[in-house]
Amino acid sequence: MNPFELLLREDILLSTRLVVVADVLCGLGILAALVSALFHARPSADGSRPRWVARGPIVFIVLATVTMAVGVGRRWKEVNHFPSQTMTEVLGMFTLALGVSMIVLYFALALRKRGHGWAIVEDALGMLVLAGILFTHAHVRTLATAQRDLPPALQSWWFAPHLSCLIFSYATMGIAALIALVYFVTRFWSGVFRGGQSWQSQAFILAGLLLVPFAQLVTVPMLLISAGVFGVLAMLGKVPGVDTMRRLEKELDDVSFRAFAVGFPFLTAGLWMGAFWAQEAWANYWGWDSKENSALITWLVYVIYIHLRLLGGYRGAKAMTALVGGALSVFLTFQVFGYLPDSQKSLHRYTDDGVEPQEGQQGPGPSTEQARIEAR
Amino acid sequence: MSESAETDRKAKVFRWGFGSTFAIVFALVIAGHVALSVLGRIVDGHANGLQIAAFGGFMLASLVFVVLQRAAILRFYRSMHVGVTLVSSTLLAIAIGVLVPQITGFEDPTERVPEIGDIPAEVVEAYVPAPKRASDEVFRRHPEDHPALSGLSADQLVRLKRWKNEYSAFRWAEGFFLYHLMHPYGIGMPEASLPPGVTEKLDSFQDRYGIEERQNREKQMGAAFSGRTKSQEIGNLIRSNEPAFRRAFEISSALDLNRTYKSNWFASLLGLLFIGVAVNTFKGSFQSWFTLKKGGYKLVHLGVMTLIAGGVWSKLKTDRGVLHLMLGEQPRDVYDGFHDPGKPRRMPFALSLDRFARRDWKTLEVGFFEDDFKSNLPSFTLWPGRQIELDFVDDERGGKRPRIRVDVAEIHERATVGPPRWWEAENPDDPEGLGPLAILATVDEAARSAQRQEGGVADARERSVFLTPDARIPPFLDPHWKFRLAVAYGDDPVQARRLAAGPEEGRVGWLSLRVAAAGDVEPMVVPIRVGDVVEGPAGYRVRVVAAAGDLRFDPVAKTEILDPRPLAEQYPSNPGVVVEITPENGGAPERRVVGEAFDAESHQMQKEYAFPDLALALDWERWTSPGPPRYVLAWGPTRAPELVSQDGRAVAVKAGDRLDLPGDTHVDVRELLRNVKFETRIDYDPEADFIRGPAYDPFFYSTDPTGVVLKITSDPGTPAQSERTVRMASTDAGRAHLWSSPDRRFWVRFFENQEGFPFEWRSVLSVHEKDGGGTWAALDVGSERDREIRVNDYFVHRGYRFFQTNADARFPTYSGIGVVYDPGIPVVLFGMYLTIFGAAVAFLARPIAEARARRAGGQR
Repeated sequence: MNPFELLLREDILLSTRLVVVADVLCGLGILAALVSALFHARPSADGSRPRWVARGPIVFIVLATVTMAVGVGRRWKEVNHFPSQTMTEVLGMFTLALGVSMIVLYFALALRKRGHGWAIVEDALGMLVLAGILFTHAHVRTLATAQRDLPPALQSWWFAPHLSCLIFSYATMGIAALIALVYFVTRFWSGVFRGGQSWQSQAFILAGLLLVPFAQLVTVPMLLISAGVFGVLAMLGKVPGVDTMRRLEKELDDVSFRAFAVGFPFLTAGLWMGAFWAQEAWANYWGWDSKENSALITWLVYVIYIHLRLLGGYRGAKAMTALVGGALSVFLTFQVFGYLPDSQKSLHRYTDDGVEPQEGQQGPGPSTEQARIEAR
Repeated sequence: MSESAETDRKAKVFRWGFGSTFAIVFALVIAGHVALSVLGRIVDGHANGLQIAAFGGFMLASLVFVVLQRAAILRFYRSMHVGVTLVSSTLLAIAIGVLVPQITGFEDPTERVPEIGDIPAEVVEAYVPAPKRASDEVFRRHPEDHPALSGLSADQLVRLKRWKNEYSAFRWAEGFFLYHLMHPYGIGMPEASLPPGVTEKLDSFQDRYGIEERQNREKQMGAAFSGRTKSQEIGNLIRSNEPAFRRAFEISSALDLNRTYKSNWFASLLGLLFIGVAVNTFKGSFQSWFTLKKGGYKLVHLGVMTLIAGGVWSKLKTDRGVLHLMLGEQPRDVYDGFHDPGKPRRMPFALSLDRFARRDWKTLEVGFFEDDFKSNLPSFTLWPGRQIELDFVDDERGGKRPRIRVDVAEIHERATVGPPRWWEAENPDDPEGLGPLAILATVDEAARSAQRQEGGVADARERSVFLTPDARIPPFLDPHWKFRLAVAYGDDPVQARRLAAGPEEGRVGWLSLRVAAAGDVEPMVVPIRVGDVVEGPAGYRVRVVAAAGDLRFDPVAKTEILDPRPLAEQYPSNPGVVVEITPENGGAPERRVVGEAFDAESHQMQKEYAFPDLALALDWERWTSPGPPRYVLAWGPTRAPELVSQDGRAVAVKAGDRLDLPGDTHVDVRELLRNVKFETRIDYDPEADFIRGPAYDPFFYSTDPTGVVLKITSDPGTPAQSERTVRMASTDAGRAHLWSSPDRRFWVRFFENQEGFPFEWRSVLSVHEKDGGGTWAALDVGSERDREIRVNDYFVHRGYRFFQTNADARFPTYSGIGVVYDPGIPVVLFGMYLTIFGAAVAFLARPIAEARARRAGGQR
């Protein structure tokens, strides 16, 4: 069924249809970013660029984000609670957070003010984020959209702030990792088309991009698309050389760190809000549940990143590798948690389709039989 | 010293690297583990003299070393490599806890995987089968019956069973994980394809309930169909690597990897981390705490230290468990420590349960008279303002529009259903009429006689009974089981005689069989008698072994209790059958009790069965099952009423007559209507508003039915649009829970959904302390509002926290209260808040302040 047919069907929830509208805006935003990047790449007679072209991508990002926000609000009304219980809803919140993060970073990083080259980087980042939203929505369409009732433990005012902080931080950390990946991909193709990089570092980068589990969803498309871009640059004789790559390494490291810095306090707050909530729900602020542990591992990866960068003087590729590692940990916590060995009896398995939350039985079952026998 | 020697000396100053720091940290963790283990033995009184001396010597030597080498130790801890290594090691330790399933009850520091070294290996190997081996299925349910266990002592039996449970959980979790690791992105996993014939049913389903409902159901079915194959593949993976899984489990147990967070090595690692953080926090000037540059990081460090310190205090002082309370019982001061009845803990006071209730989600089900979906219809949770659209048809724009819209106008927590009003429709063919109805009045004369004999007032009340020819309405059953009464409507006298004679004599009911993973979207429903053998789905053979009108259970022996009387003498108060299930490939059969009242699937009890994929349900046939004589009250549009008995005799009756029936229950005919119009009066308590969420509501504990007001619109947005306001209540009294559209196209059922988990459980507790005479006396600790607990709202008394943790749908007066005594909680929470605040200062406030300073400097 094509998206426009879908929009006319009243047997499809309005929130689902709004996601389709957002997808259309994302698609247009990608085109706008491509046009903007091309315009920034072309020299003009007076060195200026049409403003409306440069602002096109952010306009579409804002429109898509507003549409997604309206969709989330509509979903809230459709399910009568904060819409972050099923995986469909959580991923919907995540794509909204990607949009919000991109808007925040657009103004916080202000890359376009550094020059036309940086404007191209900003456009590329916008394209990647919008593509990420599109692919995430495509995955969401394979999931169930059924409304599920909130189990008693989720009926808490902590639900919204805990989830919001964490998802916003995941989105921001994801964008920080994307910036790092832009560097690695650029460095790889620069080495391929122009040389100047050791074969060991090239092999290491390629192996990392292709073999790190679950990263292929993002890295393989980036590699393929950038291969085309660099092919064109090579024909034009504009592939960045080693000196340019060194400057790019320093500056992308700085930019990725600043993106990370926006998200880290929210990650910290979201992590401990979960503890505050667990304390209220189960009087157990930290049950060493595998979901809690996965989130803590993510936080610790970023703590290591901070120490390496601020105390160890790790800069550039080394620091950005740690950032990508953190994003991988986010993915494991977010999407792969249900498959981890200690997750089988986790109390956090709310979002998995077909899994009933384990409410009402905090301890082993015999307690109720014991009670009944004692009552007699 | 010469300059070159000085230079050489400086050049040789050792610098910590990652390799060297990791080695030292690892060694310190091991040393700490050993020291804490010995200290634990000393505290428990199990240490010998040598161990005490060794521990004392170790502590003294450590103290001397720390004093003498304090500068080097400080330099060690202040190295970036050590800091990163400590954090990385902590990360690795936590990752171990995620990758190795933790044992049940790991929060109890005394819990371990039991030792089974004293149990003969051949017994262990006989008792620990690979998953789903058919010959061991019967022993899975009753392991104490396994012949290999007969020679073991009671203690050995308990240990071996516990070991097996932990090992089974371990290998399944690891097998599940490895299977998915070997199939990244689902590559190579069994495909989810729906069996033929399902798609057409789903198309009809889509027309009624919408494309999203259809897609959701399709995904659900797909997951079920592929799930069984996937489980089998995981089982094969485990079976073919059994020795490796066993070895991994033994190593995990030996190294405490499956109780990571309570192990001594983890505690010593956190201790090292604490020291590292402390050393790096309390350095530099005091003023640096108040600078934006350093202040944020120092606060984060201080927060982490507070966290760890609070955690240590919690570890040393915490006790937790579950307190079992029942409504109306005496106060209890003993709870099960760590949920183990073998570890009772006494509190300095007692609690009793004043009130307990479970509230379920108010739910609507909409069905269509023409449809024949045998699988569950979609159900819709209700809240005020919800809109449900159904029954979609094509519209002019090429899209879809609903033919039915249900708007939830009001929901009330208390509804009162008054006596219904009914009357004969003027037009016998009035489509808004509900058809024929017999209104009878019954009096239990046996109860009245008993009351008179006791010298009391004979006030056993007259009860109204409503009977229709609708097969879905059960017949009237005499409480003393002397007769059964149904009604028939029509001018053909043969119909009533045939009904009274009893079609399908001996049929006890309808057995529903379903194996979702075998492609059973809808259950197979077959009539059954005792002794029948049913060839069920997926090759299962089901033999009906016995039937009972009143099933009871022995909770200790966990077996059913069958009434020894003939089935015909048993009133069907809780009917059920006992079946024997044999799988397709033969093997040990499963004996299963299927009760009409208990749906194992919706209560997630299927996994308790030997064949959990086979879902059985029973509809007891009250008319044809063995029982007392049958009578049919028959009348027609032009036929005079008569009472037809089972042997074919017919006696004329009229309104006001007493029916000639055996036994002491009198049945009088009030009215016989040909086409009844019906109205139930439902009133709602205006004070009892819809309970939206966590707040105190006195009506939460009401046992009255709940109510809903719906606005039902047919053909919305078209010239044929019509609206009705429908008042309903969650009780079958007066059919208040059902409503049919006037054109008999669809029906609506309102109920409180008891499947799955409820909306909420709440309890109100009272606190008691012993008075001078040693009797429990209630303390005034606040109003009901203060003493109420919910899942997200606990009650605190003398440092103990009580929260709603357990409940069981089978025992509505039982409430399981979680108990936690943990003085470390405020310290830990404070540490967490400090960490958040510090991170905000370091990563948000500082960059913003610095950017502003740069801009201000630039402007100047």
